[in-house]
Formats: sequence, C-alpha cells, structure tokens
Amino acid sequence: MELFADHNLCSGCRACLLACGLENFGEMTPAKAALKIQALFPAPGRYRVQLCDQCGRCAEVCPVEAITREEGVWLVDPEECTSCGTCVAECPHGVITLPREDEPAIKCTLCGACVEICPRDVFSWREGPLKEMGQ
Amino acid sequence: MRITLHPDGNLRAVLTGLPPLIKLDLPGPASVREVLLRAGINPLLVVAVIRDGRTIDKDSLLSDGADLGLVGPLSGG
Amino acid sequence: MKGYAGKLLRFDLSKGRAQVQPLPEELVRDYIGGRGFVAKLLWDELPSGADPLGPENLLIIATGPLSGHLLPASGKTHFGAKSPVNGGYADANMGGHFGPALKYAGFDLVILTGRAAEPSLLVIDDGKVELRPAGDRWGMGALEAEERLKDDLGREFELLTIGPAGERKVRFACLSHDFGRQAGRCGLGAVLGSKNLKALAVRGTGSLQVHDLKGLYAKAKVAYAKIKAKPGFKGWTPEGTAGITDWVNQVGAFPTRNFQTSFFPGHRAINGRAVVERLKLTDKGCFCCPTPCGKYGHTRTSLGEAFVEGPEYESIALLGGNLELKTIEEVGYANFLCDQLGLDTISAGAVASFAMECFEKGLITEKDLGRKIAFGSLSSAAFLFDLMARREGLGDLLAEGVKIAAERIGRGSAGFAIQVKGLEWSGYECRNAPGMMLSYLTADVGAHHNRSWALGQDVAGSAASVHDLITAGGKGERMAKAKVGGQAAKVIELQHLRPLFDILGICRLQYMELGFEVVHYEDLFGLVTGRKMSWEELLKVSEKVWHLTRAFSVREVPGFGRAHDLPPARFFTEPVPTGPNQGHLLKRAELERLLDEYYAARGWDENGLPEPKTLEKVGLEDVAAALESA
Repeated sequence: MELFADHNLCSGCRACLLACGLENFGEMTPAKAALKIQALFPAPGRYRVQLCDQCGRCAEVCPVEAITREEGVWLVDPEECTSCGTCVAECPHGVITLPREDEPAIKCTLCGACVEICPRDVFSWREGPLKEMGQ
Repeated sequence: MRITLHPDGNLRAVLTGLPPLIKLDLPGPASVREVLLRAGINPLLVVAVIRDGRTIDKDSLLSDGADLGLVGPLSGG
Repeated sequence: MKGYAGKLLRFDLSKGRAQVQPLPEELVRDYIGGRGFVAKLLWDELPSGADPLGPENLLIIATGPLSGHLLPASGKTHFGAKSPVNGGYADANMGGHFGPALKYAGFDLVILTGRAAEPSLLVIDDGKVELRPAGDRWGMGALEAEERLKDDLGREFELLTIGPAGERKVRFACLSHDFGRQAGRCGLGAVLGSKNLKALAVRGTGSLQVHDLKGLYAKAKVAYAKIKAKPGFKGWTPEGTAGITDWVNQVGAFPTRNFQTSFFPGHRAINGRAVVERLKLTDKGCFCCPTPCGKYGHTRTSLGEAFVEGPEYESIALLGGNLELKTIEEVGYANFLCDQLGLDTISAGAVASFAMECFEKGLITEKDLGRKIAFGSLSSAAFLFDLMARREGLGDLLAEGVKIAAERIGRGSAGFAIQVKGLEWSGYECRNAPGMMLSYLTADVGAHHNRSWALGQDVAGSAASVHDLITAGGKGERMAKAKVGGQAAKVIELQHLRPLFDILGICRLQYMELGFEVVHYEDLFGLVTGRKMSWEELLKVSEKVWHLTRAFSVREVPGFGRAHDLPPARFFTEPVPTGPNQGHLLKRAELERLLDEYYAARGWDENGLPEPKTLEKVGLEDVAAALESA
C-alpha cells in the first residue's frame, strides 16, 4: 500500500503534521512529523505535500543498518539508530527528520494518522508494487 | 413532491421557533423561492441554498426528494 | 499551565534587550489569553498619555490557550496597542500560522516597547531571540519583504511584516503575514513602523503541554468530522466570506460610492462566484483550519497582474462597491496593491472613496492631487493608495484617516467621512439596520463589525412578512423600515460572544458560519488546559474585557464618551437614495435612543462611561477606583 496526496486539495493547515506527532510520539508538536508541507507563495500560489514513498534510500545509506523493511514499510529501529543524520541528508523528499538531537530519526510508518485527520481529504491509499531499495 | 429543508443555526437565530428539519409536501415543480415561502421562511433571510454541496439560485426548480441546506445571515470577515 | 507555552517575552527595542518571564498565573487565571491579555496588559502597563506612535507605546502579541493545538481552527493571533487612530483601545486579529509558531518557540505572549535605533528585524528561533539590522529590507512591500526574509532565514520561519505604509506611520497601516493575511485594523502597522521594526520572524519546533493529550487527540478527530458533516462545509468553503456579497446587496446594506447608497447594481460581477471562477487558484487556510476561507488567486488588469489572497467580503465591499470598481479582477488588483503597501483594505478603501467624493464636490482639486480621480477608476484607487502609503502631497493628510482629513478639509466633508472614533466603517451600510448601526457605534476599536454582527436580526425585523411576499410575488425588493428599539440586548450578547474566540486564540467562523456547537469548545478548553470552565463562565471573562477596553479609552482619550459613539451626519441626514432601502435613514433621535438603551443595559452612565458599580460587578474594582480618582 502506498500513501498518496492530492496537492491541489491541500490548504496548508498542517493538521497532518500534528496528527503524525500525536499518533507516533504522543507529543503536540509540528516538528515530529514524517511528512512536510511546502508553501509555494507568492507563486505559483499553492501547497505541495512531501510524502515518504517508501523508496528505501534511507535504508541504503544508513551506516548501522537501522532501517529495515517490514511488509513494504521501511522502519527505523530506535535501538540501532545513532542519530547520525545521514538518512536525513540523503532522503530525496526531505521527509525523514531528526528534530531532537538525542532521539532516533523519524520516518513515515504508513500509520494513516494524516489520512484520518485531514479535513480536506488530501490523503488516500493506493495499491502499489514493492519498490526496489533506492528506487 | 417531498422537499426536505435543513435551516442552519444562523437562520434559526433570526427566525426563532423554526425547527432544524422541515419536510414539505407540495405539488411540483416549484422553485426554491416558492418552497421557502411555503415553509414560512422569508427568502431574504436565506443567504445561500445548498443542494449536494453546491449553492443554487432561489429561482432554481426543484424535483421530488430535493434535500436543501439553508444558510441564514452570516458575517463576512 | 497546560495548553500554554508558559513564557512571556518582553523586548525593549530601544535597548535591544530581551527579558523572558514565566507567563503570569494571575493573568492566565483572570484573562485567559489573546484579547484578554491585550486588554489587561494595556491597562496595567501602558504609561497613561503615551504617544501611540512614540516609543512608550506597547505592541502586544498574544496567543490564546487553544492556539497551536490540533483542533479547529487554532491559528489565530491577537495584537493590541494604544490606538494610533484615536489614542484609545486598539486591537486586531490575524489568522495564519504566526501565533502557533510563537507557541512552539516557547512564547504565549510578546510585549514590544521602545524604538530600535535603526530599521530592524526581530528573530525568534525557538528560545533564541535576536534583534538584527533590516536596513536593506526597509522600503520593501510587505509581501516582498516576507518573501526575501523567508529566503534569507529559511522558509519554515513565519513572518510578520509591514510595508512602506507602516514605515511611514500611515494611520491605517496593517501587519502582514503569510502572503495575504493581515492584522488589518487600527493602524498597528504604524505602531511597528514607529518602533523601526520591519518584521518579526519566528520558528518554533518545541512541544506544547496538554492536560489530556489522548483525550484531545480523540476529540479533535470528532470535531473535524462534525465540521465536515455540516451543510455549510461544502457550501460555504469554496467562496468563503465573499459568498455573502449578493445577499448583502439584496438586503440593501452594501457600501456603495462612499456609503452614499447601499446597493451596487454591478454586485454580481464582484461576488463570491466571480472570485472562484475568475481568480481563485487555491483554498488557503490557517493553522489546523478545516474550512480555509482564504481564496488565493491571480488577477490581471490593465494596470498590472498579481497573485493575491482575496478579495474576501470586506475587500469586495470597500474596494468594490465603495469605489465602484466593476470587475473582480480590478477589486483583486486593488486588494493586492493594499497588501503590498501594507494598508488595511477597509480603511484604504474608505479613505480613497472619501477623497473621490471630495474631488467630485470640488473640495480637493486636480491641482491638489496632481491628477483627476473618480469613482469606478482603478487607476485612481491605485494612485491614491500609493500617495497615502508614501505620505506624499495630499497623501500625507489622507494618511491620517478620514476623520482628521475631513477636519482639515472642512466644508461639510465631516458629514461624509464615514468613521466612528476615527476608524473607517467596514462593510455594512446601516441606515436601515439599527442593530448593526448600534454595533458599529459601540465597537470598542471604532467602526468595525468584528465585535457584534447583528445584521441578520435587522433584516428579519424589516424584511416583509411572508404573507406580503406571497401576495407580491415572492421577491419583496423594498425593505420596510426596521423598528428602532430593543436592539441592545442582542448587540451586547454578540459583543461578548464573538471576541471570546479572540481570547481563546481560535477562529469563530466554524461556530458562526457553520454552526459548530459551543459545547465542543468547552470540551476542548478543558482537555487542553485541564481547567473546567463553562461557556457561560468564559463569556463572563469576555464581558469583563469589554468593560476594561472601554475603561482604557475613557482613561486615555480626553473627553471620551457619547460623542465618540456617534456616526457621520450622512447616516442621519441623507436618506438612502437607491436600492432595497431607498428612503430610509436613522434619525439623530433614533441613534440617541439606541445609545440610551445600550448604555442602560451596559450599566454605563448617559455619557457612556462605565459606572463604578458596574466595574465592580465584573471584577474590575481597581479600574473603577483608578477612573474615579482620575
């Protein structure tokens, strides 16, 4: 399963960022979100949702092999992660983050909290083939 | 034909006593305006009429089973 | 203090020094947040008699306890100061993302004092606060400055900027944010300009403490689902507030031609549908809002093209009907010009229309201005906005607002300087709307509709009976005269209700326009703060704030009282010439009656000054004592 975002519906509210942090970390903050909202203003005058597409590039570059795939989802092992930040630098969508220096990297686990909360129905699920690592 | 009306809070605030759900039976076809008058609602107090998530004109003709949201006076920002 | 960030930032711009304090518990306990903080801090800390455009004025930036949390629609920020418009109480409210960023940076409240030595920028980066030179950005448009500063600092920073109008202390200069949002009214942009501050930039990556996090998360999901199920969700959102344009014309309350009349025959070309069909690109909203009211789009006119957020209803009224601009493209472009210059569209529209009427009457001439101006002319509007923003030539006088401009121009122009307390009238013409008229006369900041909006009750009162409509064919075009008397209670109720959202730090549209019930806000308040307050108890705080802002104006404005609650002579001497309210006006005696009833209901004396026992009743004993000893 793949998470899909229709950018045209996004109004920039960022509820998804908060829901992600609440669902996965029990914290009220926009900083612990595994997706990003880009505000393209003044031109072209719309929002763009940056999502993890489970490409696996983070896993490819992780020096301690802390990121492995389970049922199509790349997951960070919090015990193994050393917070080195290599994955953050290499993520093609900029959606893996290290908001707190001493905590593990945060990436999308396809939990669906954003799908549930979004008042604009930006997010949906799609069937997709399993990607090759780094694809 | 049967028409169902859902006056919103703003409409009911200025027309106290208006219930939140009104079902009317009347001969069709009829315009929104005629239906409102039949329901005892002054069309001037209805800022917008919503059918299937879209606003429609008060002169639009309605058919049996029409389900309308009625938006009362509301302020602009 | 769950729900709050917990800290107050005081920044003395003269000394370039930050002082971080814990958010005072009594302030939270007694005033809750947002507008409550603004009112209390102005009363306590503004040095009496301070010059609003001098270093002693405070600029207060206040979020509420609900700002920034996952709940609908938590992006609102409240601003306040001693008013550059009239020396009394001034505040303005703004959507977007600024307030949430402040809270995530660790601050609920910012108090700016003094004046920076050079054009500056205040950067708040989580806990770090720094004043930096901004000379290279001084002179830039408000929108342009935001764009450049986001490039400089990082696009994740939230910006508050002023344009050239604020820099030149135009009395209706606004604060700008997020490429199209403003804290528009009362000239707060001039206050920031007088402090030599071009912008504030905030980035916040912290967390907020919540009393019942799991409960709040669950409740938030329910709240969003309920709002999505409201009929207005799909019906209202696409056009936003612009959607009422046609209706306001049909009930004869649309400002037209400097409020000469109240019906604009060309309203269908500048209504909400026109915005959607001809300009809109994106529904753009505030933090955590489910019903984005911002209509961001692109406009093209003979004068130029631009991206613009809007026009929303007020800009359609004051730039469209009021200036008689004929197309939505022109209204959109006029809106953009104001946004870039950093001018409040409402006041800019009203000052421009005043100038146009003066010109028609020969009170100002082509020689005074350098060119002719006329209603219906976008180039006239653009010329005037520019002249006022730069305070050039006659623009220097117009930049003072219609009240002062009319005092200088004389020759009866005060009669059509459409303002109360020096603040230009916003988007509803009231010669047949006694409740809305009373709302405008008694709004604390001046002629603004954000406090009480009673037009619905007025129309219900004057709209023809259903029987009359049936016999007349159902289109009831002419409005009967609305009964004068009995409006006070409703206006007072609304003056507590609507500003309560400004205290809580959230938007009122979901409640007011979509009918999202207040019980949900009670629940959300409890879940976020852990404090059990009923809606009635919260309204009592708002009532107290109402008397406090009145008391502030009494203290600061010499001779403040009933005379400051009166409208221009146009409204009591000129019957509406055209449209559904043709022939109507409110006589001076009727206005006095409205005020008499209102003051009595408020517990104020016949001059509109709060009685000591009224102040004591709402918990303002110290205020009563201070006013008595003054």
